[in-house]
Amino acid sequence: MSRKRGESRKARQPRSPERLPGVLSPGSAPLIVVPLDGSLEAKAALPAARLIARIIGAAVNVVHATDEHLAHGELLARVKLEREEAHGLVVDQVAGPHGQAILRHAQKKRATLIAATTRGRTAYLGRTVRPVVEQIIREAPCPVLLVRPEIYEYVTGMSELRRILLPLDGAPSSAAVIGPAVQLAAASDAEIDMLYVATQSARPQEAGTLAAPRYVDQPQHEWPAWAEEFMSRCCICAGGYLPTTRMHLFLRRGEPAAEILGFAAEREHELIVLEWRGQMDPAHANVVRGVLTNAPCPVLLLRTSPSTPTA
Amino acid sequence: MNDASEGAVMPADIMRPFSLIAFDWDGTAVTSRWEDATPVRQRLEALLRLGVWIVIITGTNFQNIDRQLSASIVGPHKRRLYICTNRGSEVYTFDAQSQPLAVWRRVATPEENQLLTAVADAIRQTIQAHTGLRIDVIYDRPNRRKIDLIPLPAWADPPKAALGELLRAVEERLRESGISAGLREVIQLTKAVALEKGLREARITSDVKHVEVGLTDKGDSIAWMMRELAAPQDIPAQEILVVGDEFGPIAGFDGSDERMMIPAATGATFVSVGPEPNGVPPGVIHLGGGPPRFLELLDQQIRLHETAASVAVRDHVSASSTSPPDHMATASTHRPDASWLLVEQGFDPAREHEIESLFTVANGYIGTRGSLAERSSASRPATLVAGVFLHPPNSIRALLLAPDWARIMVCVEGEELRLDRGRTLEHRRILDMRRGVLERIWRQSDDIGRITCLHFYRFVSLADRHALVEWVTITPENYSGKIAVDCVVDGNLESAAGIARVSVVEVPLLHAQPADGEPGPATCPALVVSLRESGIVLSFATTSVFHPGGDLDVQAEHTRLVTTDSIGDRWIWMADMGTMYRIDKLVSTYTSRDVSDAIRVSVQHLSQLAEQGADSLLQESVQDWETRHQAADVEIRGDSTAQRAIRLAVYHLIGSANPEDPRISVGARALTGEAYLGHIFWDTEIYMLPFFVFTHPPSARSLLMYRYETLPAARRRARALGYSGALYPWESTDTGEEATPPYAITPAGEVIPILSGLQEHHISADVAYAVWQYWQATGDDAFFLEAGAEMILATARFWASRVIQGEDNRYHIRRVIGPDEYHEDVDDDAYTNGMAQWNLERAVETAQLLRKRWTERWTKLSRRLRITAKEVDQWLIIARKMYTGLDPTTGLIEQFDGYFDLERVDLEDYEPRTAPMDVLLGRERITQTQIIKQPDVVMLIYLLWDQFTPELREANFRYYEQRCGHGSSLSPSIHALVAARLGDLALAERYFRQAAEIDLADNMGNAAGGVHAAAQGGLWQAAVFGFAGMRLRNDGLAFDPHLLPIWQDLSFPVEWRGRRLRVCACPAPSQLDVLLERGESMAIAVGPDADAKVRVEPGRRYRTEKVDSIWRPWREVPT
Repeated sequence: MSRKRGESRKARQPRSPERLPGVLSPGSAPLIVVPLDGSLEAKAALPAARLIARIIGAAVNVVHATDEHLAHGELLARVKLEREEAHGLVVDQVAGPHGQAILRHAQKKRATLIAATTRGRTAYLGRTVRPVVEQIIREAPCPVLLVRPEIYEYVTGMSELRRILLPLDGAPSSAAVIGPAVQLAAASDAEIDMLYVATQSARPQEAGTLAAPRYVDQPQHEWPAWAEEFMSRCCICAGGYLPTTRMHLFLRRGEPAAEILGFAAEREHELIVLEWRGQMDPAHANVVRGVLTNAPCPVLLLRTSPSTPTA
Repeated sequence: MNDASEGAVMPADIMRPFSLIAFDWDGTAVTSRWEDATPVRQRLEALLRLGVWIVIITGTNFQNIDRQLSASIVGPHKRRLYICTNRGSEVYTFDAQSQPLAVWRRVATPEENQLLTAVADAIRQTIQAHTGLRIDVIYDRPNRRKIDLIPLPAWADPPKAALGELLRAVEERLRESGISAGLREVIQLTKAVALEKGLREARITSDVKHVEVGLTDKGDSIAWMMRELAAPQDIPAQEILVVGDEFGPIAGFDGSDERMMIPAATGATFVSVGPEPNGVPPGVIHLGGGPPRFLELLDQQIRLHETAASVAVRDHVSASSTSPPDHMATASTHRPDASWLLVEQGFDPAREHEIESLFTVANGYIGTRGSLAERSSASRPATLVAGVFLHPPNSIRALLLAPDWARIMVCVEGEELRLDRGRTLEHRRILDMRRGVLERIWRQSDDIGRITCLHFYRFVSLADRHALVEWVTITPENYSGKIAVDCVVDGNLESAAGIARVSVVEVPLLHAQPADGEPGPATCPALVVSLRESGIVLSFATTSVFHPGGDLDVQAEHTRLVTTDSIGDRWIWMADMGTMYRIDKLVSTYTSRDVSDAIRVSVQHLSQLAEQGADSLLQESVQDWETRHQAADVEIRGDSTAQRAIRLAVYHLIGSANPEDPRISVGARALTGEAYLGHIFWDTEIYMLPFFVFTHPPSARSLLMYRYETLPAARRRARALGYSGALYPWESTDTGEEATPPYAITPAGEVIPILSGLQEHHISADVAYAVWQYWQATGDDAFFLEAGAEMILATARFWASRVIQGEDNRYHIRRVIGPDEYHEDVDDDAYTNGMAQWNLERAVETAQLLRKRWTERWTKLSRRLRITAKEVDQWLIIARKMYTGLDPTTGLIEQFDGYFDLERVDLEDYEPRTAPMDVLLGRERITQTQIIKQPDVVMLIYLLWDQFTPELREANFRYYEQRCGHGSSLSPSIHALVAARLGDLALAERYFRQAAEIDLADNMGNAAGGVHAAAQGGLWQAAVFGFAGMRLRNDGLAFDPHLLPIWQDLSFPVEWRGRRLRVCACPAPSQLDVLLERGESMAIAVGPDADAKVRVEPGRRYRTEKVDSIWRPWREVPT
């Protein structure tokens, strides 16, 4: 995938990650687990994992689930890694059913992140993600970075994060994803585009939600006030810090997944940080499934749950 | 069990007025029987006067309580006081002369007395024989014997506070002498001996020093109370509060107050203020805090009863003798009415900005958001002073963010108390809308478990608009230690950086020599904000007072805090556990708009405030709020949600306007937030002003005088655009110049040119409409002659220059924006044309009236304005030939030229939705559709109701209601109003509730930047003009009620030409009562055509009923 790049930003010095709820660095030794099933498609996750690993100072651990006992050379061959490609990687094999084995491994290693492709060796007609990945998403003890195999070329060429897309629906619980996004942005000197997609939808159930303004009495006053409140509320819900990261708020209208994808392509985002509420069945997660189907860049999926007021 | 010490929130159930309050005396109400009980007495007297029954339940004798408390109470209210003494053996009350009267006594039979003595003696002998300890028995108590387990001089009469030490001493004494299980063993022994001796109903209790064996206990007191007081007075258990300090077990035996939890009292609320080291039984709310907390509880009850009492009094006034009967409720039986209180439990950072807006305290001069006194990362505090605008060069004028006067920070042992540190056990903010006070209750445990209870009160006085008060009571609940409190006025104004200069000025004080010879400080600092462009100076001066708690000898160290941009005080003292301390912070503020020397005046005024004291200031302010509510409160019985919403509306409206300052008006968000920059729109004249016209005419007059003060600017604006007369700005500030931003940038990246400032000209007719309405409703001829008439003439002259005569020989108004701002740059907007026509007609009428009745004034005015008879004639011609857009075949008025040709969009297809239609469809697309933002034709019909036939009203409402997207907060209330007038109650209810939740919904985020003042005004109009159907007539008022069936009644006062009318409407059967409370007789009509009329006389009540859709003739009924 060819995308127009801006001028080199090598001169910029990455900053230290801000002090945030450490979703992306829970342990002392951050680790990104990359499950490879032996397909070329699955390898698309590796460059993205390497990039994130470099930004957050993590190691990359390739893991292959098989009941066979493979010698080192056989293992690299099985996951289609050249010797040079394996430099800097920890490569493990685990036994057992694929999904469970990988999850157990991630749990044991206290993985910071699992990076996987949406599809691997087997294509499943009509499915956004392969069943193993779906299981990983559902049960992962950590955030999951997902890459579509179709953008392998694009992710291979990625050398830095400059612009992160952060779709938000205004619910306090969804603001939990801001922390990790800001952490990544701060570490890579990227800027964040927050995107709110106004939809024709029922009133949100969660108290404290800031949806698109129901009333725009005077747009010249209402929009600046709404944007300020949206940003402020999100930052408060994300932990009450004042970010030094450059953040911009955008509003689109329409079907959220399509708008997110369109906006990501338009603004050339290198990463979409997406909130997911723990359900992947057809009745839920329309936005997540829609974005994963055609995402032009890696998608970092962060699981959230509705919040409750304090006291 | 609800144990506050475990961090649970005190249930809202306790936040209601109880009809009967029963409580233990020693340890609950007072620390000891020797302390000064004046604070308790004062509160009890207040409650007794409010009709509350008080029952004191004590183990001691009557004389002790009478000496400490009741002997000082004199008056008829004392007859509601009962004292149950001697552990359930006697009950006393008081006669008409306030003399004690024993009303019940349990008298032991000789056999019972013998048995009691035998049991006690047996215990003494057994213990003595076993241990050799000296044990005494006290025989002379009615119905019981007291076995003294520690008859030592050091423990002759131990205070409750020493209970722990006493317990240790008794247990030690018993155990060292061989009674291994200590006190518990003695109690078990007593039970066994009592049974053995045949005393089957023995009540065995202990206050640790004694084990008592008796025939009665506190349960007998409660049983008597339920049987002889609550039942005859018809007080259900749910309205009874029982407070004690020993419900939980101590040393293995039940707490003495648990005896009060008898089956007959099931449903009553039981509360413990004791330390309860072993917890409390299920069903008891543990507050802790000891007697100070009990006093707080009483204070809370007083406030709640004051509210309920005044509501009941008004009910009484508005009641009829027959219907509905519970109108006649007295204060003591009035059900709790939480609709006067807005309560926010806990702390939700996501909603904090909304809460701050809703909980604003304001008095029309100044408004302060309900931010936390100590601030948090979620806080957006703001204090706004009406009329004090920043004038940044090349930028839009905006209200100044004034110094943050309400900051109070509390440190315990050097650690600042914050919601995000330690554990919050309780946090609640209560806006008392009746009294205009923001209350906050906060119990915080710090990281090492020290629990501090804080109680904040904040108000800006309605009686003295320059007086700002906040006080805090602080109780260290489980520790003694150093507490420091900073009371600060903070001038670090981010929004004013570079534009406002903040400094501290030391103002010399002129002291009278104090009696003790100690000279006071020579100067007082004032925090001064100077606005460069306007030259306005804003000055704040502050002082604070420390009130020690129980120990009056406590001295607090006082330090004055002065930095380059803040002033204040710091108080540091050693606080004792369980003692409540209070610090009053008083602030005075003046601007150079008010007085020439704002700095000096603010300091002088502060001295007066300090002399008066916070309590007195509160009393004065509450009195003024009470007066305003008497003239404004709308009651909707049977619908607590609607009731609370309308009270919130009235509260914020009262706080928005200042009748003493005609140079400024009310902004879109009033003084509750920075959104909309304090700009003033048509919202004020069309949505808010009617509330003031009919409840507080001086405020309405002041708001209209603002438009008169800015008339020169309106004239300049008309001239600048090539017109004559006066064109008011779409957005106005202190100067009256146009302040509409020229464009808006949406988060969608669109740059929207804002044409309202250029085209939304209906504002001029709106001002004229408001002037006329005010004059008609008040008969304020002086205003009309001084200012009103000129505004009507000047705006009419504008319209005459604004119209264009078309080829059809009709007059048209081209290129305007009506209230429906989705369609800009349109021709012949129905609302604009209709209101312009009306403006011209009223100007003609004004000219004729002046010429006839006030000839001299007309001569001067017409000469000054150069108005000729020909010009007036021309106004009439234009009015008569104004294009109206009416299609006579359908009865529909076309909203603007070409509207009917636009695409019809079925809005139902987009429901449910939370986003406005212009966001969902896009601005470009929406202009091509018939979707409208807010009522335009419907607004015209509402304002000029009598000009349209019923058929035309109905046809146009049905047509446009289907096409309205309600993209403005001004829309739902007017739809509710018109739907109610047309009798479509289902639709009216839907819109009324939509309007009610514009600021109150917790998942819309609407109110973060301030409350929607116009929507609040619209809600009031929907209730009064819609559901009650009130209309202003030349000779009086007309009504046509259409009430929601779930409402029991709707009642409200109305001011009309110096009279006050009280109106009460019921839905089923439809009935309308009016009572002229003040002023001379007036005409009242009822019905859609106002054909059933009555002339009401002062002090008399009249009633009419609707039978078979016809209002019956009025009849007088007893008041």
